[in-house]
Amino acid sequence: MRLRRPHRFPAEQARARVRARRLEWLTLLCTSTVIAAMGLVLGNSQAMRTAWIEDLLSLVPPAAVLIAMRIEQRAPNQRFPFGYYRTVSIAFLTASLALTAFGALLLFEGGKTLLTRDHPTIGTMQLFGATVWQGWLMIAALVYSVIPPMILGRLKQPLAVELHNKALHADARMNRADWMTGAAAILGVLGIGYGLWWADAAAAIVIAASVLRDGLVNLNRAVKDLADEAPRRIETGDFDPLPERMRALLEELPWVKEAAVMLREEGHLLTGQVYVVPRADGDITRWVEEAAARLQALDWRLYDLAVMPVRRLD
Amino acid sequence: MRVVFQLAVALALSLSAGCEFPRDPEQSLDEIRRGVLRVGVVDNPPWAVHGAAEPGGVEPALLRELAAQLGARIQWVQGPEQELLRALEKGVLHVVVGGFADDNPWTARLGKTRPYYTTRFIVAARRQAPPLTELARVPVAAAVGSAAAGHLRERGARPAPPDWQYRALPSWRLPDSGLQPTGLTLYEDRQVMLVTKGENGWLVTLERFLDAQRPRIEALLREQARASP
Repeated sequence: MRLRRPHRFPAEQARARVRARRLEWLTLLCTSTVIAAMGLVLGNSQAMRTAWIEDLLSLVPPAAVLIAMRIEQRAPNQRFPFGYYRTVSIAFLTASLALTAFGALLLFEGGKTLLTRDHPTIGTMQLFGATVWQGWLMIAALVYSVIPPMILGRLKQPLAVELHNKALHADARMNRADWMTGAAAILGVLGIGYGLWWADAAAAIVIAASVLRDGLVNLNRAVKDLADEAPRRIETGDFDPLPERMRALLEELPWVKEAAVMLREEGHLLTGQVYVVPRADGDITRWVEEAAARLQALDWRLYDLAVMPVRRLD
Repeated sequence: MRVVFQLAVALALSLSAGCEFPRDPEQSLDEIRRGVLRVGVVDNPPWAVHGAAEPGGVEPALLRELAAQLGARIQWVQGPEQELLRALEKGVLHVVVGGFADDNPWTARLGKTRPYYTTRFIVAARRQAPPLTELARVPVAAAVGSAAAGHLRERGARPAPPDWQYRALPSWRLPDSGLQPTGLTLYEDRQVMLVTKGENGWLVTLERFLDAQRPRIEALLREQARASP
């Protein structure tokens, strides 16, 4: 039985991959310190609790990306003849499902807090012998929580595009949006300080809504990926023009009368079927293999294309 | 960015103008300063003791001092726990005292202060009693139906008459009891006062006051116990 040849990253992408993994480890580390710092001063603010749970959740995408990046490189074998390239898509689905579920839950909790007119109670804490209003410490922790994800998100974004890794891309976008979560929670805590009990629940609802939105957008993409939607560009979300370029290349070959290309995404890779209608009989096998090689040279993500000579296209 | 800047300015202004921060949504602290501190008292000696006109006990004594500092008169409401706590929940009272512990079941519906004293329930022994290392099958005296009796039973100890050589008691009673510590602790109560949810300005004022009283609590407890044993 023939197995797929393992896919190898070009040198440039291999370097980007090393960097991406390093950044994801750094994300796990920084996020853990943020979670610990916030946990120490976590008071009765619903907004801060929501922001904290969001930070806990934001451990899932980097962890999923790291696990998937490890598994996807395994060579195809008898049990998995097509390899493990879909792992990233599955990780992406998992992470977005977690986001969606928690977003909905937090939105419900925020709404309940607002409806039951629950007044958040925040007292003082002892800090180096001084009695300090805990709200100030919460705000300090929230300010700290905003900084690492903002920087890491900006660093990850170009790598995600380079590697065409959607899970990494979703992670980077979530990180970049994190400052809004922090700012909303700070406003909530300040609101409590000003005696506006509802400000906190309102801020919590805003944060929960953004978590839910992130979740739904990513869930939508993940499901479409796994349902073999035609490939899209990661930066813009537009359909990738590559299939059209492949068809044009094929139809320029002297022996090809017409051609059709069907591609789907498998993790960061593009694979699929190519149908060609030859003008005349001849050394078809050699022609097809040459055509496949030329197509392959168009993009590093093309992988394991099946080029199939047919009499008619429909 | 402009919004953030404006907020920062507003915050700085309100702080420098000497406004209270945090503030109460229902203006408890303003109300107290303008005249009356309404205190609910649950009978639980020596923390709070119902009296004919005014309550006694450690916590009412502390609140008398706080009221004097704030220039307020105290209106005492002595009653059953459930009634007082419901009134507190609705904001009719400002604070309820009665030796409440941090883990009391009402705290989902009420606010509470940070614990200001930890009551440690220990097992003490007469001077000539053999030393104890564990409680299983050891007779230990404790008030019938008390939490201490429950903890003793959980640890396998047996009930004993009140004048027995081993006795469970709060550690602050030790100096007056003539007993020696055995090194065994049964449980700890972290003492709090209960307040209405979200009245953060009042809560912060109360907590700052209680922090300053920490070193006196044990002496006050002993004084109270001697006055009415």
